[in-house]
Order: sequence, then structure tokens, then C-alpha cells
Amino acid sequence: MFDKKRLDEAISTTLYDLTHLEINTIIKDEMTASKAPASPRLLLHNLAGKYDLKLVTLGDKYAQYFGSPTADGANLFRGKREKEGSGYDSFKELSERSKDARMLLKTLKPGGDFPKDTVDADMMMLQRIETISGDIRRILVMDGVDPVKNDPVKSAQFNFDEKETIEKFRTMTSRDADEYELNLDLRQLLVIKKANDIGTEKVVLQTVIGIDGDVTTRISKAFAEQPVAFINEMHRDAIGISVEFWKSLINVVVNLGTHIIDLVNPKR
Amino acid sequence: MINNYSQAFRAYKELLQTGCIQSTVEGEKVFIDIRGNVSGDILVFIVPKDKIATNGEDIMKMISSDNNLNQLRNAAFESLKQKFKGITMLPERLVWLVNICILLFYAFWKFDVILALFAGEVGLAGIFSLSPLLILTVITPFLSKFFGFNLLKPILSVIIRLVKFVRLIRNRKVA
Repeated sequence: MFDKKRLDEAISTTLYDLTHLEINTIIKDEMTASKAPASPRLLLHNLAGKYDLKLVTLGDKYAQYFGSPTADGANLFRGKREKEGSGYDSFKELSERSKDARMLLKTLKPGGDFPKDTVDADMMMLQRIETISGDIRRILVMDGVDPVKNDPVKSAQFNFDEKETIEKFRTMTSRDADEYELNLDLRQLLVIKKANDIGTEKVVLQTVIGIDGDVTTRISKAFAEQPVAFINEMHRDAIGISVEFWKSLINVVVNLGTHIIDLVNPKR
Repeated sequence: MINNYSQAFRAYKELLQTGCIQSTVEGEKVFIDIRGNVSGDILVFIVPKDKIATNGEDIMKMISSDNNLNQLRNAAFESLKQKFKGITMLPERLVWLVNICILLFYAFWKFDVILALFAGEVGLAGIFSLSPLLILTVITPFLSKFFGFNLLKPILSVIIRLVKFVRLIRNRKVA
């Protein structure tokens, strides 16, 4: 009746979410006027596009060092695009290509146009693409998430690893689109939304707070060398609000305790 | 009170429409965009207004030379704080109500034992029988966050279904 593995995973991830807060301060290159799509399928397609573009940009950057791997001049990191959509196989391809790119970058001797800091930052970015793509694949294979996966009729008509399918989905009426939309729970949707929000932007400060009292702050090397007081203050304010949000829930318990004591011992 | 509820309503409306609560301010040279989600995680984006800053260093210079940013920062965080306050209000009320009902029921059921304990007649059996009160108090921080947001799910689900139904009638395109 219950899928034990899934239940275990759900419990452990929920417990992690309940007991941890994460605050990120990010420097973005530009602000797009358009809103992120509401549809999870289109969100995933946005994200796949960002990862694809980043692999191409990084591939072009390092091509002057490594050269092109193929005679037809395919991009060094992105290679030949087999999947241009945003289904399971598309993210598998992105994950594998970023892993290969990271392995290749490991062989580069830093110096000249490629100082160690730059190479390290790019390797971290490739690691992010690999990890998040893996997380998304894990969500996509979960039972009940993708209505197309186990339906032979739907999967014959819709292959979300193809760009054309995404375009077709984009222009469908909401009633028709709902039949092919991903069925995500709140946590899965948050994972995808957050991945799309952060995309391939530079995270300069990240703080993770655990209920057990552990606080971890990661600072990008470039920012640590030249910190800006304003950004530090912004990050501190954000931590304050996040902790306050959590604290307000704990206050419920304190107030409740006070009420109970008053209830059983009114003369206190 | 009415103001609090209208604030909560606005925060939930935004949460449903965009999946997060957001506060954005525009300085002379940069935008600050702060997004929070229901688990309390926050993303702070600092974005140059013109895409002339191609590397991090230039953006840092822009931030340092923007005179209004400090004031705007306070405004942005104040707005986000109010929205978070609105979001926590409903789970707080619901969990409070659920817990008080459970505890009242239990206190009524074990009223003799409670009285005996407060009168100083401490016995192992009495302490054991009161342990649910203690356990409930200990796990309530978890319940608040977990149940609080899960209790919202049916409400959110009804609203989402209503929105879908309206869209269905209007037969709007997805994009």
C-alpha cells in the first residue's frame, strides 16, 4: 500500500525543511520584465534553457584553451544537443555534459586568462547544474508526478524532451494543458521554483540555519576578498526576518503554555 | 484586526499568484528584489538597472555609489516582514485552535489527576497520564510549521480549483 522508500524520502526531506532555513544573497546580471511562468512544465523549460546557455557560454570561454572537440565545431561543453526540451532525458543530458565539462576543467592549469579563482567559480557553477539537474530527474521519476510517463497514449503524442512538444504545450488551452501538467506537491514545486529563481546567478552569501543551533554561512571568494558593507547588511536583515518568521511560530507554543497554566492554576 | 486579515489575504493572494512573496525597490543604479517562500527561505537579488555592469566588481561599485539604497532597503524589508506576518497569521490561529481543543479535552478528561498533582500528590501513574500534555507541548514547534502549512493546503487547493474553473470557463491560453 505504501511505497516505503518514497515515504522515507518524504519524511527525511520534510524534516530537513522543517528544521532548516536558507538565506541566499545573489547578484544578478539583469532583471527580466517577464514573470516566471506558473506552469511547472514551463518553469522546468526556463531552467533547462538557462543551464543550456550557461554551458554554451562557458564552453565558448574555454574553447580557446582546449579547442573544439568535434570537426563540426560543436560547443566544447554543451556538445551536440540531443534533447532540446525539459523532460527527464533533457536534464540527464545537461547533468552528464556538465559533469564531463567539470572533469575537463580539472585538467586545466590555472594561469594567464584563466586564474584559479575564475576556474574554481566555473567548476562550482557546473557542479550546480549537475546537482540540480539530478534533483529534478529524481522528482520527475517519482510515482504520480508525470502523467505522461506511464500513459502509452499520452507519451506517444507528447515527448517533453522535444522542443516542439513544449511549444505545443505552451499554446494549449489550460483545460488541455492540465492533463499533461506535472502533479507536484508543495515541496517539489518549491525546489523547482527556487532552482529557476537562482538559475545560474552568482550566490555571494548563503546562510543555512538549523534548529539545533548550527549556522553555516558560505561566502564567495571574490566577495570575501572585497566585501561590501551594504550587501552584508542586506543579508543580515534577511536572516533576521527569516528567523523572526520561525520564532513567531514558536511563540505560539509559549503563549499556549501560558494559557494552559492559567487554565489549570488560575491563582498563579 | 480587519487590517491584519486584509494583510494576510493580500499575502496569500500574492503567494498563490507567484508562488512566493516579493518585495522590490528601485535605487538610482540597482534594483533590490527580495523573495520569501512558505518555508521561511529568503532569496535576495541585487540587479543592476542597466546591463553595463558585466562583472561582479562593477556591480559592487554601483551599489556603493547608490545614495538611496539604505533607505530603500529598510522599506523593502519592512514590506516583506508585513507579508510574512500575514502568512504566519492563519497557521498560528489554526494550530492554536487545534491545540487548545485537544488540551482542553485532555484536561477535562484527566481533571482529577491534574488537581492531585497540583495539590502535591505526585505519583508515577499521575505523571505518566499527563505525559501527552508534555509531548504535545514539545512537538508543537514542529506541528506549527508542518501542520500549519499543511492545514493551508485544502484552502489553497479550493482557491486554485476556483481559479482553474474560472479559467476553464474563459478558456484562456496558458501563455
